[in-house]
Amino acid sequence: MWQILKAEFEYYKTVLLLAYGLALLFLVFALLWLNTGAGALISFTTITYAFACIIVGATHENEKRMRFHSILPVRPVELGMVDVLFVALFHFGMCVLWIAFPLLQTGRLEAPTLPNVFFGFATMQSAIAVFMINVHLRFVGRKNYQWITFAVFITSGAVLGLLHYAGYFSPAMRLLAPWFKSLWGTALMIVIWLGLAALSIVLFARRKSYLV
Amino acid sequence: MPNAFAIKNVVKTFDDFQLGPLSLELEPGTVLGYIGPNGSGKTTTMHCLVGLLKADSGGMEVFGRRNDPHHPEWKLDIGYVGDVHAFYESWSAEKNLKFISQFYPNWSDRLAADLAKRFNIPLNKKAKELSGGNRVKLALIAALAHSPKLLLLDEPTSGLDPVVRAEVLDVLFEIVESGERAIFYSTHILSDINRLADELAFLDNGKILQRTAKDDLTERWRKISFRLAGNDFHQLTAVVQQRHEGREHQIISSDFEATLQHLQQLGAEDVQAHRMTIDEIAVQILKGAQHVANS
Repeated sequence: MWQILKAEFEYYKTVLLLAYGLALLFLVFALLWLNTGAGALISFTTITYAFACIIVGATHENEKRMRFHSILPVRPVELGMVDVLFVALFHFGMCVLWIAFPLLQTGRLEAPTLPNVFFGFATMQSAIAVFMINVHLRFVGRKNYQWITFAVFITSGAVLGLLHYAGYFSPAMRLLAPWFKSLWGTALMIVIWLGLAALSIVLFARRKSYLV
Repeated sequence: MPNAFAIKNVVKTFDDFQLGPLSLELEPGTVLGYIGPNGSGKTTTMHCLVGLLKADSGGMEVFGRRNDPHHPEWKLDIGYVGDVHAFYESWSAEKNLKFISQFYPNWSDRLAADLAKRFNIPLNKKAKELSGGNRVKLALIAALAHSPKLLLLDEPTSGLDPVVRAEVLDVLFEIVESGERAIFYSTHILSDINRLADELAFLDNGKILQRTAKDDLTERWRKISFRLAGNDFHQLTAVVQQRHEGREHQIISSDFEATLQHLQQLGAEDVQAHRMTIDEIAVQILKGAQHVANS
């Protein structure tokens, strides 16, 4: 597994270096000339990260990487873990910049910064894990089980819409916002991410086809 | 010694196609040609064997070990050249081989280098810059350099020009001659298999029609011409095709000895038998299957 993870980082090093380089440039620019908070940096690095992930994902698919790796004597669970670890470790590098920014700007690491960073990290990784789960659901059985993720999305959307319509959404968010930034909120989000990542690994291992 | 592979009642169903129930075994050191038209299930069989597809039911073993994806040690005994040659495209051929070598304890850099020299493949070139022929050669090196006991080759020479095809076949023929490896060779280019295979299995519409020793097949099948009154010879033993012009008849028999005996009993004159090529025989077997399916 580690050989594959190492190879993936080596193979995509240009894309990764470019993404980190852009993020670093923005950080320096923001520190020297912009009077901005960490929020702008987080948004910029997240967009850069998302673009880099799209490039990596497209190359992965074009070059039939899954097929290539699946022929090797490696357990599917390990291949699933490589996918999860690659995007998480890449993202973690961005998080270091998020932490570095306020540290360089104010000279101290403010109290809510770390939970903020990891809440954002876990949320983004959870979204990626859901995307991976959705892809794997197409191949775990003879039928396409992607309707499960669509059903969850539609149900969530409907519930949120109803809450908004009933006027409960904004007050609920205001109530929950501090909790999201707290240590417990971050811990819960990390647990959710780990659960979703584990599910995506299990589903990968249970795929009936590794051709696409 | 266990079979190189054993496929037992394997079924793999798609929306518009079903492979199996399929049972097939291959003894160590044997070359089995897997022959069938496009869409007959050859590649699906290979994909199931190598673990790229999971069968819906049935079981598979490679040298006595179940092809369980969660215990992939059985893959160490397999060298596979598939229908698609996937590599790290922006890496050189050499770097790709180096990456693959990490997973095989028996990998020999020397053997890989020898094969590369033999194939005259530019190892410093990026995979994406290699020609179709060189990609097949690279896949072959990757499949052979860990000295697998079982080679699975899925139409490895399709799309290659005659010179490259001959080069690839020469190497495969050397491997066959050494007699150390079992080879499962799927193709619809029958001239390739004529040179390499000990046995042939004919597949159509996901089912095995016939499996037989190649020599036995070429011994049994004949084109027979003879002179005899009458024109309905369907009752003749083992006749798969007949044509006539007056008293002149030409038939194809899948059991030459039996048909000849029958013809002699009927008093046929001027009986002449001609050997058939594997291509001709394969066409008759597969045509026969389609005829049965259509009727």
